[in-house]
Amino acid sequence: MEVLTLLGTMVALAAIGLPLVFAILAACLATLLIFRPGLPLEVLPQLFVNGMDRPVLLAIVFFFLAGELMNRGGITRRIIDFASALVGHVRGGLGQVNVVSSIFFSGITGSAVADTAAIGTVMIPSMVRKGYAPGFAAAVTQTSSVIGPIIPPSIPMIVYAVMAEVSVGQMFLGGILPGLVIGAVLMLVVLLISVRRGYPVERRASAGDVVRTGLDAAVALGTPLIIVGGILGGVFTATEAGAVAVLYSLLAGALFYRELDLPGLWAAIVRAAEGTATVLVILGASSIFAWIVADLRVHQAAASLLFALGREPWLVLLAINLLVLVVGLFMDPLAALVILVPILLPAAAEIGVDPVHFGVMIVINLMIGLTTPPVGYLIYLSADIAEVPPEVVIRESLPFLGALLVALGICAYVPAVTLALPSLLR
Amino acid sequence: MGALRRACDLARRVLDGVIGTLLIAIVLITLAQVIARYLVMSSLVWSEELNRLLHLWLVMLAAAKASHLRIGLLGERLGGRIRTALDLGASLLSLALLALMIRGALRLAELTRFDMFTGLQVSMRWMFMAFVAGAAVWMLRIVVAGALALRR
Repeated sequence: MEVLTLLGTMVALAAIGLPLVFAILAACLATLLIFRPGLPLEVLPQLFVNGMDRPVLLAIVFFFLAGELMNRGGITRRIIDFASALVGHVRGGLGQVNVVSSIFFSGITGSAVADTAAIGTVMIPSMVRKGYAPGFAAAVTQTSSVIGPIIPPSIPMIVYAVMAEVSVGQMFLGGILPGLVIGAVLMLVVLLISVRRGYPVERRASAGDVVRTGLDAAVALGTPLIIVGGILGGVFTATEAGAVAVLYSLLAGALFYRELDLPGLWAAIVRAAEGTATVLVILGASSIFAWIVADLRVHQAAASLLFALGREPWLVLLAINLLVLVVGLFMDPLAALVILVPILLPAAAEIGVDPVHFGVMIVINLMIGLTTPPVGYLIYLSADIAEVPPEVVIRESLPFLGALLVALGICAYVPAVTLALPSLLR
Repeated sequence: MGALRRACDLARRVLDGVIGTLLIAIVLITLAQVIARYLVMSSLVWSEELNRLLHLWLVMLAAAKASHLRIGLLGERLGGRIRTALDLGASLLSLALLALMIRGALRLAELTRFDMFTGLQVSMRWMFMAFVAGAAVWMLRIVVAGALALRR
């Protein structure tokens, strides 16, 4: 009954269009009034403020800002040029360039939407001009954008780290190999479809071209090196890495590429602040939710439901993944993350799943939801750029979705893919 | 109507100015923290606490003007009067929740008046006052947006 009140109120209010932060607050308030009538309501703002008041959360605003600065600083074209020199000559050249650009881009911004918007605007028209089906071009763009929040920096990884009380550095390192695995399976699908449809290859770049474009993109690609190198080397914390990345992006955009002006800088600052606020208030509200979940032992009910078929880890992981996939079809990844983690993490811990492995798996799973109907935002964004109906993008995305599920399966059932790099930090 | 819009534009610019200044300050303080540790070989005792406080103010003031995450599967499919009624209901519920939270935060600010950030020597009540200030501006924005929508 408690679970029904909590989740039912939240889903019903969110469905009629109430901002999610208020839907969560209203559901928590209703649950407390009915099942904990004696509790002083000051607990609501107290948990809300405490949920936002953790030093590590500063990393969110820094990485938002660094990404905004890089985006406005003219990096997209340079990254695509370098990716073209590297993989343009493989069958389905521009499709491969699209995926590799997403991998590079993900090391800078960590937002799937920014990735689709920036790379899609350049790559989709170029691919169409070269004879690729517009739906195919949009499908490659949107599905490869999933890599954005998996390879560090990543806002969902920071949010998960705070909720699960694991280190942000470990989560960042944990996302690197899975992100590359996703890139590899997507490139394989591009190759297979391109062979069947006879999509072209580009001229092989000379070694000189690779070096020239590489040097031009090197400044932009320095961001992931600062973050990963800084954290791995113990030079600074994930939060400080974010502030250093901001300074670096500012210098790269304003002094090196000379494409970032003062109005652009100010717009980036305000946008980063608003983006951060959107995430943080959800996190504040979700800390009340997590408290109620623990207080009413909702996670125990969830665990017994998950263990109904058996306690074999592979079976429980399968059940968790299916549940998260279904939720991800209908919910924004961040919203789903803050609601599902307090409920599912204890069950996963009980069968011995490492919290870093669990977190990376859940983030990948929820990101897939961005590319599927009915609420897959990336479908509509890429369809709009490609000027085709969303149905076409959905149809062309099916083989890529299959590949994403294979990658999810690899990451779920081969923990070493996620844990190999974080173990270097332990 | 025109005057209300002009006032909103001015308020938005002022809020942007405050938010932007807070964010720049947070970046500079964090960089100073790294520089102090590696170049001056001494850690700043106040920097983390000041950043926590400024960050809360930044988040709550930016939340007052940010566009917030919605799911809205049902609401988007409805049109006309039902949609307007739902929007109005949603605004009223949001206002009620914010008012309730402000009341609680004011009480917490009172309770923590004499609790101090040890390094910063500033009362912890300012954490809860960040919530009060941000939520009050947020309420104002919901009221103005509702008024503008109703006139349309």
